[in-house]
Amino acid sequence: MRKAAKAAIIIFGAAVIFFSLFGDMIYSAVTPDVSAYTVSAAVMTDGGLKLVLPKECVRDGRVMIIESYPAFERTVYTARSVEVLLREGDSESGKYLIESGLKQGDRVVLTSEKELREGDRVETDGHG
Amino acid sequence: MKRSKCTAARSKRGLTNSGRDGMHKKLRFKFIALSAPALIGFAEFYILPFIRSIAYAFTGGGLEKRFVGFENFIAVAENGYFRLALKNTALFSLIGVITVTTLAIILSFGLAGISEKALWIKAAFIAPYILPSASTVLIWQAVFDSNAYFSLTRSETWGGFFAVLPLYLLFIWKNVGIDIIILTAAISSVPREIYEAAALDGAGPKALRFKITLPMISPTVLFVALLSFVNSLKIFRESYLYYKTNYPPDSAYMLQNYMNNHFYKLNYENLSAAAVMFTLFVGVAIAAAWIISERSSKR
Amino acid sequence: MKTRVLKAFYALLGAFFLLASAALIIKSLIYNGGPSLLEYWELFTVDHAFFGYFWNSVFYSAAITAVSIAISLPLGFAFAKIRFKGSKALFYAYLLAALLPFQATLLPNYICLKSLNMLNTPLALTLPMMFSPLAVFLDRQFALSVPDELIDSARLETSSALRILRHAVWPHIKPGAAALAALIFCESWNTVEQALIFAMDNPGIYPLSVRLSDLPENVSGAGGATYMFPIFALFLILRKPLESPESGEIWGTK
Repeated sequence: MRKAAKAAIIIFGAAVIFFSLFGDMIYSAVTPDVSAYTVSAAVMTDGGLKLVLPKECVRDGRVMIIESYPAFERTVYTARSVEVLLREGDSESGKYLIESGLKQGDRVVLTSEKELREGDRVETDGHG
Repeated sequence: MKRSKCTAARSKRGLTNSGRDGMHKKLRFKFIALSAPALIGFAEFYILPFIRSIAYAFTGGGLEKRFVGFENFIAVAENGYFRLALKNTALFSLIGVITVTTLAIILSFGLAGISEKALWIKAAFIAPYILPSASTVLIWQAVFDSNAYFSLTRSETWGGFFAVLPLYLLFIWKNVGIDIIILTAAISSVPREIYEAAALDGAGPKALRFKITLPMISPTVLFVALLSFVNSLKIFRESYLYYKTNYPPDSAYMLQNYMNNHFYKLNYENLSAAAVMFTLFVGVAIAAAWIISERSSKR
Repeated sequence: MKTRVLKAFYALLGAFFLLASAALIIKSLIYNGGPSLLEYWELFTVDHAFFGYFWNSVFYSAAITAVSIAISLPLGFAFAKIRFKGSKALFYAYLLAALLPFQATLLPNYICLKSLNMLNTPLALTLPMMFSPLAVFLDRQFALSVPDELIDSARLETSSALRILRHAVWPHIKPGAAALAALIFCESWNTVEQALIFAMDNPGIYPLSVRLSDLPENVSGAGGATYMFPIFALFLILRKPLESPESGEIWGTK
């Protein structure tokens, strides 16, 4: 029993030291940040929240938004897929008008480095 | 012949001048020099600040600091909260220390009877000391936060007792471990021969414990009591976390709460006066205890 | 029979005391109802900033413990074996200082550190705690148990105070020093209030004790367990000197 406790402590200690040195690197390597441009869905009209988006952003009636959750001394941004109601705009403009499905402050992904899947960690480069 | 030559030679070097403890001046000086860092630090971070505190205790008058005599002391002494805090702290320290020490003694005796080392039990007892305060308090709140208990704390005569009981239990739970470790070490150092001799004289196990072990480890018991006393004054952090407020229920309002609140109200003069008075009380109590112990050991 | 009952009783009691710590560790190893190291993974990678504070604490506590023990030993020995003027009064002052609640000296210490320009530096979080009165008190107690003959024979060999301490006194009090180290380390590891106030404007140098409660829910278990880990390790390392057979006498027997 004593040996087991000793071993556990040594292993844990090694883990602590290892991750102290490499934890950050591992985090970046394992969950690479995908760069993305976003725009905030903060446009209010009398009908409610409406946002105009290029067609490429919308797929199958869904858009990608970015959710942030507070980790310890950093905020982690994850991509999430949300269903929205659209109205096609002028066919030449190539834009959709989002009627509902988004809340004020939601950050919608306009373009991204790679195709985003649900749960991907995102690095937001800026607002469109 | 050799000896006188030696002594003569040594006296040339000034080494025969021994003090009452048999050490000559040079060596004593060296030891005291080695103690210099400790003494300087003590002066800088304990004595000087305390003197400053005393100075604060005598000033007042808002922005313009002027000497106000004993005004602050009188204000503190008349302050109902201070008296409450003093009473509660004295009660907590006294009851806490006695309970913890007695419990530790009983448990240590029991342990000594079972096994030589009893490592895991000792490790278990000291686990609460290691647990972070926040975690301990979380568990305590889970246990004591039921509606039933809450109504207990509201009852007429015993409400105060129940309100502060969690704090007492927390203190005991946290501090038995370290006391047990120290006491078991002391108990194991009592030489076997004494027990054997007493057993030959026909002493039973109870007599052995009370008449031999206990007196022999009494300096350790005193130290354990002192350690527990020092820790009892530190209950502030757990109290703050548990009651989630700077103003705990009346029966749990301690001196540190009083001082802390005055610290945040920027009322340093009051706080210093309270600290000085508290130190005075404790100082007198310790001096009394010391004198009593000196007298009893001389007999 | 009686021993068995007693043993069972102690086992039960021990389990009761272990409950909280065991619960914390178990909680940290569970995710979604099953055993998993996820909490630790999250803590060590995503919440990597945790380590900054962790090593702050390790550094502070180690420094405080080592220095405290080193500089208090000569003084403790002096109190025990050397007669000098005012030793009783000074020791009495030490005893009182050990009992002062920190609020009494907090403000003057703050002012002192400010005037020395040490505020918001690691020095503010270590220096004031390196002069523990408890250490001096205990060292005196330990030194009292060193037989005078040992010291006398050491004095015949050398006139260096340092050597006497190292060869005659230190080996004798090692178990006590181990216990003292554990006490000081634990105490400094858990201080919160002083650190908060002395390093107010430099949160990067906070010890872990201050930041532990700010960990997000999903890693709080792992955080608490890692917080306890160095103390476990310390007790394991110090186990031998703490358990050694001579360890009892130094606490003082009549």
